[in-house]
Amino acid sequence: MLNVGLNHFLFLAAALFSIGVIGVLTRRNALVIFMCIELMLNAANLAFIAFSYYLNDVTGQGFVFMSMVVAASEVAVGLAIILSLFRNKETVNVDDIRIMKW
Amino acid sequence: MSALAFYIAAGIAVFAALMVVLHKSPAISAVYLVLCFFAVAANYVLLHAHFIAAIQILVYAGAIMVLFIMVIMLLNLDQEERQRRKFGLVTALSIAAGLSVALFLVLFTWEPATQAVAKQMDPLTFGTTETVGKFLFTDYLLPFEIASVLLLAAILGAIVLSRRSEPGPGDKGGFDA
Repeated sequence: MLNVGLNHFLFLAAALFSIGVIGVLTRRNALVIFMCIELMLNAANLAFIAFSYYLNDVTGQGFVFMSMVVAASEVAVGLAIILSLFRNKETVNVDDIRIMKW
Repeated sequence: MSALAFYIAAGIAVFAALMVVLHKSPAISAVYLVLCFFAVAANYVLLHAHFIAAIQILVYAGAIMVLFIMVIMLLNLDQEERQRRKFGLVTALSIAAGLSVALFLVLFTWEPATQAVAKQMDPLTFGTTETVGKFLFTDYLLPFEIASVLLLAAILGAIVLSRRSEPGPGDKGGFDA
């Protein structure tokens, strides 16, 4: 039996999520911002799994499965967008990409 | 014993996550992200989510990160990032600090989190492929099928977005911007 509490895992998830937020706000490279979003998704998954264990309910693991499916499709489409953006603008710096800005 | 394993895995995860954010080169960031995913997978194993841990390594550390590294190499991005930032470092750090203080306060004061003890569960069946599979194919069959449709849509979207159009006169390929 695990001798660390639910709190420990939730603290780890909160820390990983906050680090992801710092990355999204400070980095200007679209790819690194994307990686930080993956980090935040992982933190949420960790909280799901921790609750699943401590409530003895497998539903949380099913939800994590779904969230991984969504993350995989998000990465596939997002990287394709970054790729075609790079073809047109020769940059992945989000400061230089302002065609949607009026 | 398991506490020690948790602290080691958590320390590696936090260190790797910090390196993802702090390292200048996107390629090195990607490798640290793989390390972070492995550490999180170790936490899943501690939490008896064996199937999810295997999926984490296969899908996240395997497929998704290969995609990332392929794109990084394709774009030849290994130069230094310019220091022009929309949010100052101070603004970003204070937003993140506020968020983490709020999260930690909630965790410290929330009764179920501070007093939760694991309920009795069968360690032989909880979190195995069989259990999760039965769960996915009975109660949650419809979301499972919708997930497959979502993946198909993502495949088609990725192909359409990254395909070069037929080279014609004055056509640079890709989408007009």
